[in-house]
Amino acid sequence: MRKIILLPFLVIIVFALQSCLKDKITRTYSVFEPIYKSKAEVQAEIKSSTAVSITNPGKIYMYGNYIFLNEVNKGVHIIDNSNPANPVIKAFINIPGNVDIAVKGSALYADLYTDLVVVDISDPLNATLKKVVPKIFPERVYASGFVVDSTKVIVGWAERKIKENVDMPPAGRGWIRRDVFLSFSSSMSGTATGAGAAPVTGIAGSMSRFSIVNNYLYAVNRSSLNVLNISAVNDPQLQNTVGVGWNIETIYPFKNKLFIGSSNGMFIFDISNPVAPVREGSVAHFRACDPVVADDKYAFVTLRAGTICQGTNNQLDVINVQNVMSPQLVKSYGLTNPHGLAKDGDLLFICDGSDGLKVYNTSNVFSLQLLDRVKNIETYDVIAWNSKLLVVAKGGLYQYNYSNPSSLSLISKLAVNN
Amino acid sequence: MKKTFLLLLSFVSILSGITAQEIKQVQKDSFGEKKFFSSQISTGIVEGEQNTNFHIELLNGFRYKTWFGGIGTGLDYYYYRTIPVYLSGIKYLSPRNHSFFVQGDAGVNFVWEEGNMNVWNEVSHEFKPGIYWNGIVGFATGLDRKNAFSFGLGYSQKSFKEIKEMTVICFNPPCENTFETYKYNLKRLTLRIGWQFNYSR
Repeated sequence: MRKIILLPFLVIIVFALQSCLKDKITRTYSVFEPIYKSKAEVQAEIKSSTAVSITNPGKIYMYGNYIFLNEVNKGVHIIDNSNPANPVIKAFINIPGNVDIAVKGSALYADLYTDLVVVDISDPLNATLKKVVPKIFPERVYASGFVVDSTKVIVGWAERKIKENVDMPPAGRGWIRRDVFLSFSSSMSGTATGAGAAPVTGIAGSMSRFSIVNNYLYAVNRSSLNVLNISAVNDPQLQNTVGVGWNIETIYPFKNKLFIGSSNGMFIFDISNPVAPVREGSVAHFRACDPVVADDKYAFVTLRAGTICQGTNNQLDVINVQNVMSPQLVKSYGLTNPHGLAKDGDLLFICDGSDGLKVYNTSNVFSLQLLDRVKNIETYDVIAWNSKLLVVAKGGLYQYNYSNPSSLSLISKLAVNN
Repeated sequence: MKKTFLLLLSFVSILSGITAQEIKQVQKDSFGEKKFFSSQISTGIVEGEQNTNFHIELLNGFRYKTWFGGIGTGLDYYYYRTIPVYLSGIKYLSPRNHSFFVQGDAGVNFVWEEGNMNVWNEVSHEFKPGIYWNGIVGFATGLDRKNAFSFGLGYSQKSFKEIKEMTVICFNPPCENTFETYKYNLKRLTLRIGWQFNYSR
């Protein structure tokens, strides 16, 4: 009998507990708010400072025995690479909003959000600002969703941790951030002077948006190709702006051509008249991010899918460019998450994101042969020169010897310091 | 779904009443042995703030007189599919083969991901296990020396942490990803029916 009495008691407990059916979900995230400085202050600080560790490596530019490595949105590391087995960071130049670089002679060209700055690096340890060319990159007025004030520059981001209780997200799925534009995002670009460009002023990675050919600096922004005369290296003059298309991403020079990658296709411009590039041919592709390298016969384009790149395909397109007026797709090869690429003779080096660095033999473009793959590095961009590879990866700056392309050997690593 | 839960609860309550009435007539101790191995498989529903869902569990251990101690695992489909792994202790209120019992489970809860859980701007998901506990009151009725049927009502919590790596709008890679952490504490009612196999000689 005593046990039967337990039954209503049990039911009462159950009903009482109904009010305790609380699902508590706590969401923790960071919001980054901009730290501003006046333009005058920022420009006064564009000079060599003590070497600092690499934390978020961006684009690379090789010039003589120096490597210029972009620290995304912060500035440029100057690295003495006289001994590739022991590269030494010599100095750091503060350039807020910087993502692209190019060097000619004693001048370093870099973007500072919307502006182009010229820094005299004849003495890399005492670099000085020489000139500011405003509004070359108008689309970069936005920094992570914030409009950069015309009188101020975003020099950093203050992190604020936020913890809040949230309602149930749909089961099994996350939900879209409400503060996506408040969060820190880095952006970057660089400068390309391909191995075939004459005369060589330096070599940039294929992710570059700058390119120097002879006395001209070509810099692409979202929709245009800017032509700056740099005969006087410290005094660039904007001489022409050519409309290209939308979502322009990269630029790669080869001989008297510029190969421009956009999210919708690849464009070929003739620069026989360097001040007035003329569009010759183009190849459309599905929406993706697409750096490009080329030689006399073929252009190699990596197409990357992703959030901003859109699209769903990750692949390498080989395009026959012998008739530049009518380039033709030869073949596509599947990849994982391709970024930058570089070419040296028949060797093609591809940064395939988290899938590492891949080396292909391209002597037969209809059947590329994978020669080697460096695993366990998340690669972003690469420069191939004189049997040495410079590879920018999430973990830092790596150098490899590719004398034996079937077995790359690590020469050195400048590690990221988180 | 709440109605279903209440209907099931009523059914179990009635069944419990009938069986309890029988106790008076079945004054027999089927668990003559003091110590033996016992397996229980149980299934049922969990009712929480979000919805009602399904769970199934397997519990193995030893019974000693009116006590049981063992280790259990199962599948819990409330909100995220999870696998609780827990230690369990049961106290039968009577040594007879029909008895109310009180059960306590405590352990760790692991998320078993269902396919690709990333949404458009998510790069990766990582789940970290959290605590799991369940308090149950129920009734077990022995059908013979080897088999027993049980049902119970409980209140349980499962917790886990989800870390999402997300991309942000960024036109020129590489781009830094951001991280969000979600800590889930899900408290639910459980209703279960089970079958016990007693490995006594």
